[in-house]
Amino acid sequence: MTSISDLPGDLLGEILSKVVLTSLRAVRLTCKRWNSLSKYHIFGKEATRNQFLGFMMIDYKVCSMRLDFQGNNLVYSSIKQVSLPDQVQISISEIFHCGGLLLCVAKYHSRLLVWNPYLGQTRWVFSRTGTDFHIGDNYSLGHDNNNNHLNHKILKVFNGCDDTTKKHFYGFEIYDLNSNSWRLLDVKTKWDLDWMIQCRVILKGNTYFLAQDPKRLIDNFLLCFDFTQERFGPPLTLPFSSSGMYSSTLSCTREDQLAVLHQRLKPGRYTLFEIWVTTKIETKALSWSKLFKVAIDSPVALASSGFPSCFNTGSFFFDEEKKVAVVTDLYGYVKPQHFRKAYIISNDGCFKCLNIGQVLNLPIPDVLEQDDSLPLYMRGVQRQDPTWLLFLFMFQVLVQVQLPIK
Amino acid sequence: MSKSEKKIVLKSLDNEAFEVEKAVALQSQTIWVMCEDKCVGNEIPLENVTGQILAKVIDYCKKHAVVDGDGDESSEELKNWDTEFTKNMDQSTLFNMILAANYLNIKSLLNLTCQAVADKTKTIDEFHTFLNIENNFTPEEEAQICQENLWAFDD
Repeated sequence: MTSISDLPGDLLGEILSKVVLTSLRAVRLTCKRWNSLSKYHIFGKEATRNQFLGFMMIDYKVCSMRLDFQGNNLVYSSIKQVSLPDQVQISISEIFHCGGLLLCVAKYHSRLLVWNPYLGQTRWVFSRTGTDFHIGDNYSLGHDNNNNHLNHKILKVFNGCDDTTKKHFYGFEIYDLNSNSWRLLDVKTKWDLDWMIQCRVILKGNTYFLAQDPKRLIDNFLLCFDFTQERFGPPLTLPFSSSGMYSSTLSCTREDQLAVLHQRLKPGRYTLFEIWVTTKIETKALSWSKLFKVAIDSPVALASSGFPSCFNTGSFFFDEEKKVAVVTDLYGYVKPQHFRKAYIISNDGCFKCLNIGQVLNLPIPDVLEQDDSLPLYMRGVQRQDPTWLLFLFMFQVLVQVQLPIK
Repeated sequence: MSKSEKKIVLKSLDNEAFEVEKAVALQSQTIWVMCEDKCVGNEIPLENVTGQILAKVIDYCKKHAVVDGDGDESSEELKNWDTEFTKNMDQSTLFNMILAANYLNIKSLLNLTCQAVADKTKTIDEFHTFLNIENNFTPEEEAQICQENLWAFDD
């Protein structure tokens, strides 16, 4: 008897591209042939729109997360801790996603691991000098857009000090995943980059940073690090002016547009959220349009909304069509009563608390624990890491390219 | 164009002949190329498709053809028709429909039939029963795959 399985490989690939990503395990566990087919044909390209799948960080553990829409309501579905395939039990403090690869930065920024979850491959990245990475170093992941084969790269930013002038500067290094080596870049920037992980977003292989003029320290703008040219572009203006108490965080849409959430607040009085999305991204300018704006504008409304009175936006993701966003509380980790909660804000003025407290096997966060074995500067840095909860990318298509890691 | 030129005869593998409007048949890129090349007369032999399957393909093409202003079905209705069309096909029919759509090069029909297979198979059991595949993993291999794909969610 003929079976669907007897179809030529490219036609099976056509079928696999229509299978939803949530059936990935089922396909792989069906039989050897389908398991190997699933590694050559990309899954779920045309899967349903009503799911948010992605990775997040909780308490230095990588978790995968799933939320679903029921009608217009975003409902909590599940979060589970993921053990990295290579069985190495390390605490991860930051993760970045770009073109199907995840860069995992270990706690204290001591080690780097590249992970392709789709193909189940991992690779350690070692530092240029052979000594450990420095805790003050920061990273991002990108790829060049030179040809059809994406060449992934890691950007490392370190703090340098000029020997003669004693002036501090940013230094930049690039790690090329193909050649497996670090290169020092001749790149300078006079702007201050914001190192909070939610103030950076990776889009089409490049990284956008929130940045400031060190002489003015108000008005933020965006700076794009171009991984093809390996340098920064000009400052890109944001669609609002920053004054009073505010915070801005970055995200992106499913259709590769930048998004920024701008929050203005007066603790205990009011809080206001605006989400802006780009309509056009050019090297020298961005065009923006406002997706929605909601406010909790009185102390009474604030008290009944369930929002913490001094809520500061951490990371966020959103659905453009339904105009719903899920945001995390930046300082949630120091407020046990809000622990493991995220907040839904929507265009119709509805505010809701999304309880994501059902995470299994997660220890109490040690963010606040004193660790006397660490040098003093390390303890300080560690406490600033708001890594207890972080959304990364919530898009159903986790894997855009198949990229075997050497 | 005379009346007869607007018609075309498609002949299946088992010698069943179907007379159809040219506009209906030309949704197949393969037939379109054959007609362009003028290497065939008004009768086109299709050596890879049985009469039973060709009849279904023609049903689909008739529904989707825009002939003399008759093709003004709403997209909603067309979508429902497509769903009904593949709903009760068994795996052997879908198998042959996919092959026929691929051979005749009708992109939308290929999409529709592949989507139908994807929709009918979501769980491991569905893959095994509907696609008639046997599990050939050892328990160790199975555990390894489970471990590697822990991050992925089941439906």
